[in-house]
Amino acid sequence: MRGPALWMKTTWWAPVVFAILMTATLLRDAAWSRSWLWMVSVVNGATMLISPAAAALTALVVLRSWPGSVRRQLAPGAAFRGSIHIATAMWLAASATLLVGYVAGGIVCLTNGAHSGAVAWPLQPLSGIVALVPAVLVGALAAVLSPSLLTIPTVFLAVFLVHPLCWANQLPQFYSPDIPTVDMVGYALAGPRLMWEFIGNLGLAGVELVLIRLIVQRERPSRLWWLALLVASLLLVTLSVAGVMASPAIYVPAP
Amino acid sequence: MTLALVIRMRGWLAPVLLGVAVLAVSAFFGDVSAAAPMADGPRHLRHYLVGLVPSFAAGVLVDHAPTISRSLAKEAFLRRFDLAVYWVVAASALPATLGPAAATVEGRYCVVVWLLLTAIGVLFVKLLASEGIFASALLGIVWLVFGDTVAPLLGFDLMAPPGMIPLPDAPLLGAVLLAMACTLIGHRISGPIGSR
Repeated sequence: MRGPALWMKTTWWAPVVFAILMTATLLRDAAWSRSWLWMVSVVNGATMLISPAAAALTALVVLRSWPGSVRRQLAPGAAFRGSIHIATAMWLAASATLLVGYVAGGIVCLTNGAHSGAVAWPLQPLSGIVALVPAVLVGALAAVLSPSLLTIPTVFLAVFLVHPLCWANQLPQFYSPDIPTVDMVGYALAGPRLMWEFIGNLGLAGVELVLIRLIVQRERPSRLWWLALLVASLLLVTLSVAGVMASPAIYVPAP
Repeated sequence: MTLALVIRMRGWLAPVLLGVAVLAVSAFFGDVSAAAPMADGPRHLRHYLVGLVPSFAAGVLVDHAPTISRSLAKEAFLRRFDLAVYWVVAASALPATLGPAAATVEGRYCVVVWLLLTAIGVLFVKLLASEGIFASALLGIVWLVFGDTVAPLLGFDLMAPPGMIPLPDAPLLGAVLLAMACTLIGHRISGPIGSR
């Protein structure tokens, strides 16, 4: 963890950015304070802004502090690990922001005597943190693919637009789970769909990880298991899309 | 020959090509509906352009060699030209909000916000370099999502029926003055924080 810790020190301002976005999301409509389920959804849904920001920040740090001119002077493995350490640092900062959001939201819910709703343990509280994994990796991937300053706003906009595209086409919600606009009293998130979205986000992260490795390493992967990881990740993404299309319901009546 | 070299070294080509593409979208497709996640109202392509084109144009303002560029010949002229390229590329977002739309409160609001975002973008990028591009994009996205909430703070009543209230001129004047000030100050800033 020494690598990510060093990058977290040099990007100390990233959690400040994430905290501002979390605060803006929580203050946008305080009606969530009535329900624990709604609060958890809103904190996870803050990734609609935090995921694009984390992707763009990862791209920015890779472009500025870990560019090709630096990577080419290192052994392929070290060059790859540096990119992943930057993404990990951003993921830790964003995840910490989500945890702080849970604490703040939990205090508000406790003081308001919110009804418990039906939080889908343990997947639902983790869905935002898992959705951040492909987000930071796509930032690193974009930065090693296209070393240009235009990459920063492009990644920001692209990850921001994935959510409405997935929503409109009934795809798994990659990069950011959705926020309900009303109190879903008597309902709970559908477990199978939640699981498929977990699998889809992890598969997407696997694909991005392998692509970063292939680009940074600049040679054929020496080990078969990188290819196996790519195939397995693509399989997970395909399964996730198929699973969500087979059971598109997001909410089911609470048990 | 020299011109081609200058264009390449200053990084003008990509933003200008982008500006031409944005101009076409802005002139013909500005009213296309484009829902934004979490947004507190309907959003159209023109809102995306107003919010994000300044950050895409901002690449030309980054000084890639801040410690030596001040001693280069014609640097002051080229820096002025950088700012001109930035404003012209950013202006490619405007056709969607000008014309008949500028006579509505919402259209006028978009013009004022475009002026503010572009002006603040100059300071961000001159002071923070690549972090400034990120900050500019962040500000644009945040406006895209929370624009309706911000409007009353700037003096725009988006809920008012058209023609019932006069268009507020003070925010427009203020935004123009701020844009001029930011551009003049931005020209004087010689490199990002930490480079001196």
